Amino acid sequence: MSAVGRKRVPRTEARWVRWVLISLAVGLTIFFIVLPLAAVFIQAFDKGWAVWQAAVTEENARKAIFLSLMVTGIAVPLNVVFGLAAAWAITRFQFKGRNLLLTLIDIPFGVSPVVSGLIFVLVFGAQGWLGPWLADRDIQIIFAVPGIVLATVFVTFPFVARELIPLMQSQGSEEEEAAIVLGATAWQMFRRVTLPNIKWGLLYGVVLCTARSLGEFGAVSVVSGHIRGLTNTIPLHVEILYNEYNYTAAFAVASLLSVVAVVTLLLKKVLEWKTREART
Amino acid sequence: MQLHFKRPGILPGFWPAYCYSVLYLTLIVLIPLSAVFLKTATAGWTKIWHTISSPRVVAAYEVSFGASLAAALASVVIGFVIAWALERYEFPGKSIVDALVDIPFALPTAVAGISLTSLYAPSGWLGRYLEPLGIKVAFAPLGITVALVFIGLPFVVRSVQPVLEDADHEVEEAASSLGAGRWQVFWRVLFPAFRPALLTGFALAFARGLGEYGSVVFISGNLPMKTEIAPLLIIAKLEEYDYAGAAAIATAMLVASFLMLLLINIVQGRSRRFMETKLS
Amino acid sequence: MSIEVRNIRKTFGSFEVLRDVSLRVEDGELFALLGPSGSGKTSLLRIIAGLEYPDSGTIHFNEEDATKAAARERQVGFVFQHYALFRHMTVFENIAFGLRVRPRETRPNEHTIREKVGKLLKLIQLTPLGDRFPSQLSGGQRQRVALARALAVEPRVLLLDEPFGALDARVRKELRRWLRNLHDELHVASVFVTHDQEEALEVADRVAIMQHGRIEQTGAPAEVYDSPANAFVYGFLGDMTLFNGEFVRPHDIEISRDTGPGPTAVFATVNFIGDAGGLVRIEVRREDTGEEIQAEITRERYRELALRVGDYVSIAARHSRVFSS
Repeated sequence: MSAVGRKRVPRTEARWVRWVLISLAVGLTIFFIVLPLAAVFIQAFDKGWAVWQAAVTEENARKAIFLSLMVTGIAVPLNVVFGLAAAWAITRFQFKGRNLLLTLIDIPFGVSPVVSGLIFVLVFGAQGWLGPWLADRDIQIIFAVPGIVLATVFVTFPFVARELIPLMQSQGSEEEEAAIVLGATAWQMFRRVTLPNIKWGLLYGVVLCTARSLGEFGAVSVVSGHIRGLTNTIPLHVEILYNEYNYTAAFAVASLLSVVAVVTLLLKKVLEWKTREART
Repeated sequence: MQLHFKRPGILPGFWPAYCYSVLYLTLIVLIPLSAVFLKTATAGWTKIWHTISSPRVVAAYEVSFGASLAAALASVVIGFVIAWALERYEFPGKSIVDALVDIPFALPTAVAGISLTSLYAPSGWLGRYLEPLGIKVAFAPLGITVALVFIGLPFVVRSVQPVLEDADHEVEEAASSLGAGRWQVFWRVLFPAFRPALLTGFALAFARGLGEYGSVVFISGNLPMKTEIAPLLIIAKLEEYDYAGAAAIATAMLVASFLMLLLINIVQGRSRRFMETKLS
Repeated sequence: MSIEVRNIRKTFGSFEVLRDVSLRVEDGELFALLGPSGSGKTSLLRIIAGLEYPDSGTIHFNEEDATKAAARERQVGFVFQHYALFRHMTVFENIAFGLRVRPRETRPNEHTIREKVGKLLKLIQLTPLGDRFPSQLSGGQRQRVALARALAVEPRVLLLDEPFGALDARVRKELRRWLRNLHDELHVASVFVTHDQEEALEVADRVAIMQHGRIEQTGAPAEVYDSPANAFVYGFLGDMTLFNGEFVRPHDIEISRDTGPGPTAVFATVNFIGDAGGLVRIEVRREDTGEEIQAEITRERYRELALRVGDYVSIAARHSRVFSS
């Protein structure tokens, strides 16, 4: 963000051209991005603080918040462990199928959220592969919490790995080799050398993963069954309120998610800055 | 018999990291995803054809495809202007605009969906001025496009920005010194260098648009044959317990988005070669 | 401790990096692995350290087979080409690392660690910089910290990968003198990898010259320089020029003004004179064959001859060599 070290850019456009382009850029950003965000907060507080508070503390809202936090609490650690394992294998070793693994990790990014939910219905649903088997044992996955967790894990699957792989690739493995030659055990190497070097990138991956799993709508919508107070996450609760024309309450709950989004972006800026600082 | 594993390196933890990554990837991503294809395949070709060629499904594909295409094109133009201003000019609030570009990545899609709908509905802040002009946004194909522009913009900006940043200003200055006008420099010298990045941004925005659900379902109005998108039809099929039908539509969508990803890879491969020949 | 490498082979994919390499480094010796890039010298060093495994062959430390020992069990000190300092640790903590990660039973207490690191900081002349981070040091300083970190664990063998490779010419020369002195003080068997023949010949007790994954020759610097085993070694250790189909060092080409007829006389014209430096570089073209020959003469001889481009001279070789290919 600092002007120090910035490359010199030839500024040969006429002053009015520059002015028009800057205004356009700012105007378009405001129109397409800021306006929708602002609309959430304005409508959330439309009827005052008390109404907002009532909407976000009402029982079904509380249950939705609790469920979302629980799902996130399961999905994020799972994907952190996977991200660390995948990044370690991919960036520190040469093996057959390395590029394939790298490509496969990205799959969930390219799959529609609705399809992400559908695949679990096809496996675990009443008519799915395991449906009859699960029904015999009275285990419910679809239209229940496990399905929501699975769909969320799938959707947020690549985030941590995608943050760590380029970072660890650029750092190289010499420091870890040095630690091993100096007599460190695997755990000591990880704890004292690897982890401190990747902590900011890892944290950013966690932040992204958290934000996305709190806000995932399409995939969760397919597997949840929309049972109020039971299988409703925050975004699903917003949907229900909205479809019931309870706009103020819908926006009030939505404003919570918007705060998470804004905080995520702030953390991104801070962590980007930290990573850059750590690299130099 | 002695099994001989060639160790891929001396750092510890390859086998645990590798095996865990592959196992987790297989369980969470590969097996569920294969369910879609298997379900489609077991349904039989007549059934598949019957499903994906029914007028309602074809109409939904047309809506999804048309709106995604229009939105991706609009995103390319708008995104380019924003990226250009951010990388080439200094202006107050620049770093804020830069951070705001990521909002659509971070904001849950359902929140974006209800917010955009409230803005563009006939009684909304923007809708009430557009309605008298005969421009119907919400509950019309145009609304879907607006939502997808919101979703697609950051993909374009973030694809183009690094290229603009790395642009070799000497080439530009050389062109100017050879007597090229500003406009000629842009079209003949700068634009060809940005083209691959614009194409990547376009493909990413388009692929994302095809699968997008949360931000679109609220604003589209979901009128069969008119504003119903393909992901919504999957949900409709699921509600009718037509798993095979849902899987067939999903397969068509997956194939479309994988083709887009393939295109992105080809474009990036070509631009890499382009850069390499430029260097050698 | 002595190091012995027996019949090491290593391939990466289809590329043979090491082809049946054997060598022995005596205790207390400073040994150089010299060769162009891609000759396999770094791979050999990494195999000795346990950072890579050979496809076949064995490594012995003091006659004891260490081939299967993991890197952390070998007690070697390894100095990486780009130092591989832990970027988030201070200089002090970098040096202390090897002591801190020891198993609890053998781990020295905090006081001993401080004392030991203090001594090493003094040895590398960086006592006041213990609290700095690696990013705040110059290249030469980082190099010394990397060495101190390797020495802290009291290695039985010290291995250095291109120890001066990333430094500029002046610091290189300083540090290599310093390394030689340090080695004489510590007297631990050390192997360093370099592509710079001047460095290897000046610093090492013995040198192995490598090419295409093979050792071409091993010996003391004077030995390999004076009696090179083949044309590659001859060419790699110094400049050479071809004269009458034989290899000659440019400083062994004699130039004279005496152009009278004789049975062995070869006549030539001066093509180019490079007279900046301790020796004057002369390029001549033979009258009979048109071959271009490089010569080097002292400044006095140059003044004596008063050579100019285009002059007609006679040339002869003092020493020359024939190698069977």
